[in-house]
Amino acid sequence: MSGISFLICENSYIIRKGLLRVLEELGENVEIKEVDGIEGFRRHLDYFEPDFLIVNPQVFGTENFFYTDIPARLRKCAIGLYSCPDLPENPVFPEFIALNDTKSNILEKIKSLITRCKGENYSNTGSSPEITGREKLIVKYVALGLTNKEIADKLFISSHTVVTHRRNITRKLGIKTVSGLTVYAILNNIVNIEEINR
Amino acid sequence: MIFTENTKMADLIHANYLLLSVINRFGIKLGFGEKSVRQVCDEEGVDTGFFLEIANAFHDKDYFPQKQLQTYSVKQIVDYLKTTHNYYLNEKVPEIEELIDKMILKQEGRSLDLVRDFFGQYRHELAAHIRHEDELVFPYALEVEAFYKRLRERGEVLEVPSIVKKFSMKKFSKEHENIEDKLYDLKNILIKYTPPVDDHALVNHILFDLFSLEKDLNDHSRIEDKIMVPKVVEMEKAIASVI
Ligand SMILES: [Fe+2]
Ligand SMILES: [Fe+2]
Repeated sequence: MSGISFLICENSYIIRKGLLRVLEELGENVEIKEVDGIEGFRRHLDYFEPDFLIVNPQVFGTENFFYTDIPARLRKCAIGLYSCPDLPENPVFPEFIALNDTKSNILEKIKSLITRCKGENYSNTGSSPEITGREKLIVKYVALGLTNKEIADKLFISSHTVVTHRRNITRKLGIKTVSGLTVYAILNNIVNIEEINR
Repeated sequence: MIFTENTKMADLIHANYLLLSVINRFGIKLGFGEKSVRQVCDEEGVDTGFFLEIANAFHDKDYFPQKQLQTYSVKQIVDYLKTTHNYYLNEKVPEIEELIDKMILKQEGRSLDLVRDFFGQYRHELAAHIRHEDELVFPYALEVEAFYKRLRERGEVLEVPSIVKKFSMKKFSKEHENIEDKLYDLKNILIKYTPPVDDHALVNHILFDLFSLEKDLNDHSRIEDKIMVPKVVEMEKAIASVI
C-alpha cells in the first residue's frame, strides 16, 4: 500500500502538534514523525526515509543547512516553516508554510507539492463513497492476481491511474491487502472461487 | 500523560487498560495497592527506567525516549520484545482462531470459511515476520551490543564479528513492514461484508480481540522502531568510528 511519510523538524511543541493535527487531514495512509532539533533530525534520517520534510530553518541556525543537512533527494520535497509572513528573498525551499496560514491554505500547499513530487493527483475528497463500476472491475483483476501493470494494459490506462484507483478503492472499502480484496470480491460475487483457483 | 517513577501503578492501568498486558509481560501481578511504579518495580526486580520507557512508548505514540534515561541494555529490550512475540503467536492468535472456529461451527456457509482462511494466511505472515526478528534482527542487535561493550572495555581494535558486518539497523528499519494491514482488512470484512452471524456476542468478541491485537501490534512495532533501533544505531555509529 503506498502511503506518504513526513518528517517535521520544529522546536516549538505547540507548533509541531498543530501541524500534526493539520496533516492528519490528509487521510489514513500518512505517516508522520516529528523531531524538535538538529540532533533528532540527523538521528531520524539515519534510519527513516520520509517522502517529505517540513523544516523550520531557524532550528539549524546556519544559512547553508539546506545543502549540508538535507539529503539531495529530499531537497525537492522540503517545505520551509516560517514564523513570520515575510518569506526569505532567495527561497531555497520549493514550498513554504507561514505561521499565519489558514488550515486549508496549508493543506493546499502540501497537496500541490505532493502532486508535483509524486506526479499524481493527490486529493481525497470529492469522490463518492460507493465503489464505481470501473473500480469494481479493478477489484476483480486484483483478485484474479493481475499486477498493476497488467491491469493498466487491459484497461488502456496508465499504471499511475491504476494506483490512484486502488488508493480510492482502499479508502472506500477499508481494505488494504490483495488477499483482503480477494475475500471482498468473492463475498460480493465480483469473482467466484473457481475463477481464482484456475 | 507521561508516567514517572512516582506515578501510582494503578493509575497506569486507569490511564490505559491495554497496559495490563505490558505489566503482565514484565511478570508484574495485580494487587499493588497504592504503590508507585518505582516501589512495585523494585519489589518485582524489574528495571524501573526500562519499564517506564516501555509503558510510555506503548501508551503515547508521540513519546520519544530521552537519551539521558537510556540506562537499559539492548538485551532487556530484546527480552521484552521476544516475550511479546511469544504472546502473539502462542496465546492471542490461537485464541482468535479458536473463536473463529467456534463461529463456523455455529453457522455454516462458505463466507466464514473465507474468513478463517484469511486469518490463517495472516497467522503465517505474522509468524514469518516474528521469525525474521527473532532469528536475525535480535541476534544482530545483541551481537552489536556485545561487540560495542568489548570495544569500550579493551579500547583496542578488534576483529568485527561477521554478523555485525552483514546487517544494519538501517536495513531493518527500511524493510520493517507493518503487520497490521490484514487485521485491519479482516475487521472491515467482518463489520461490513460478511453475511450477518446470529451469535452477536461471539462476533463482538472476535472484533474486540482484533481491534486490541491490531493496537497492540502497532505499539509493539513502535517500541522496535523508537527504542530498539535508535539504541543500536548509536552503537553502530560508535563502532564505525573506531574501526
Ligand atoms: Fe516484533
Ligand atoms: Fe516488527
